[in-house]
Amino acid sequence: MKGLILKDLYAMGGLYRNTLFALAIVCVCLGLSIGAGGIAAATSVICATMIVTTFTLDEKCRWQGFSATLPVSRRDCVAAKYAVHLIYCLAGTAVGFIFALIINIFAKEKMALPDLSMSAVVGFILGMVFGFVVIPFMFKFGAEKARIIMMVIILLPTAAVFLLDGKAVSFVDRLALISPAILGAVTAAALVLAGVLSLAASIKIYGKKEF
Amino acid sequence: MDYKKAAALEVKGLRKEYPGFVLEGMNLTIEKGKIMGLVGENGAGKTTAMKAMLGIIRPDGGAVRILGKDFSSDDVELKNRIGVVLDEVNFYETMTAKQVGKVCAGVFSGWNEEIFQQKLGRMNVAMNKKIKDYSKGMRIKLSLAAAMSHGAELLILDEPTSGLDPVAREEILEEFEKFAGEEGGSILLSSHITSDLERAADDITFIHKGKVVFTKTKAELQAIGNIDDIMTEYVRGHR
Repeated sequence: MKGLILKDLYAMGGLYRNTLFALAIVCVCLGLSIGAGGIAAATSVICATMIVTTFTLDEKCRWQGFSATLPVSRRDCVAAKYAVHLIYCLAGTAVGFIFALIINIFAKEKMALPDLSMSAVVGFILGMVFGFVVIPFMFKFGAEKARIIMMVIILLPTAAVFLLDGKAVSFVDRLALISPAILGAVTAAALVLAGVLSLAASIKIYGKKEF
Repeated sequence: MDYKKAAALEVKGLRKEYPGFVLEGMNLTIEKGKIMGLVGENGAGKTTAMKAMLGIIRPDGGAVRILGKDFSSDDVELKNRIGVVLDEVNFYETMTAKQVGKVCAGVFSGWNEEIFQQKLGRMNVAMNKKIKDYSKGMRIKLSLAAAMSHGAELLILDEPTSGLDPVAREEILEEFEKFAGEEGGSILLSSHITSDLERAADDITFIHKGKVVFTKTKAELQAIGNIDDIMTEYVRGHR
């Protein structure tokens, strides 16, 4: 599986600098309006979308058909994608946290370090969940069709937040009343469960695929 | 079955059906140390046959034995003993040959970086250049080097010499002859360039509209005529 992970990390090599540059511009333009916490979360989510690009590159060089001839199982191919997604989410969270620290220096209202860290963690969770939802679609429909699905996945929760307006805020307020330890444990368990379900779905989809 | 006596590749009754095309009961045997040429017009079923043999597409029937073992697409151990080239190159164009080597080292259990570098050097393929800056010939040479540097005993190659200049083709054919001759490997090689097959192949299988028309040794074919004429005559007579 190491080779499969390396393949994605190398193939994306030319894009890392551009992504970092784009993120820096986002920070400069939006940093003071959405705040350091917003930057930490947004950077994680943006980096999480890089997994979609790896599928596009795979299609361009017809990797999936070729990988079926390599001494790796289809299960390994799927697991490698999830591992790469985890790497991008962790990297995005780390970069986002650094950007957020820099923005925080120039912000009028400074965020406390624990709150900043929490924003980064929320960004990481959102990024992971994004991958868990989108990766099975990528395996099923290919990168181009799945991009449309990705837009829907991003737009639906955003629309829901706007539509629910005050209710969403009161829900978040109520969450804040729960003990952080319980909230953390439940969130971690839910994230692992979502990951396992997503992985199982992708393995099933990819196992049936012809190239 | 005695492993040493087993054929490198045995295909029996391989069948795959698509709307408007059927690969019908394909039989094929490649002995160890031999090169088998697979020839046929566009759409004859060469690529479909190779993909079905390798489990890239699911065959509707038939059996494939590789190096004396029933082949299943999840047989990781067996796939370590074969090398495949299906397209020009299947690594993304921003990668370098050096990175391809690192990826292959993480995939093939018998990967030999030294052999990989030797092969690239012999074929004049730059290690640190990005694939997008390679010529078509260099891309194919990279794919071949990657397929031949992990101790493969069988190579399955789809049109590896198409679109190459005579010098590049000659270099590649020399690699095939060395692989089969000195290293005792076997090759299934599809090609439109019949002169390449006449040069390198020991046996030739002609496929037309999904059916194997014949498998003959090079000597048998040369006694009848040249492959181009035989193919053209057959295709015109069976349209």
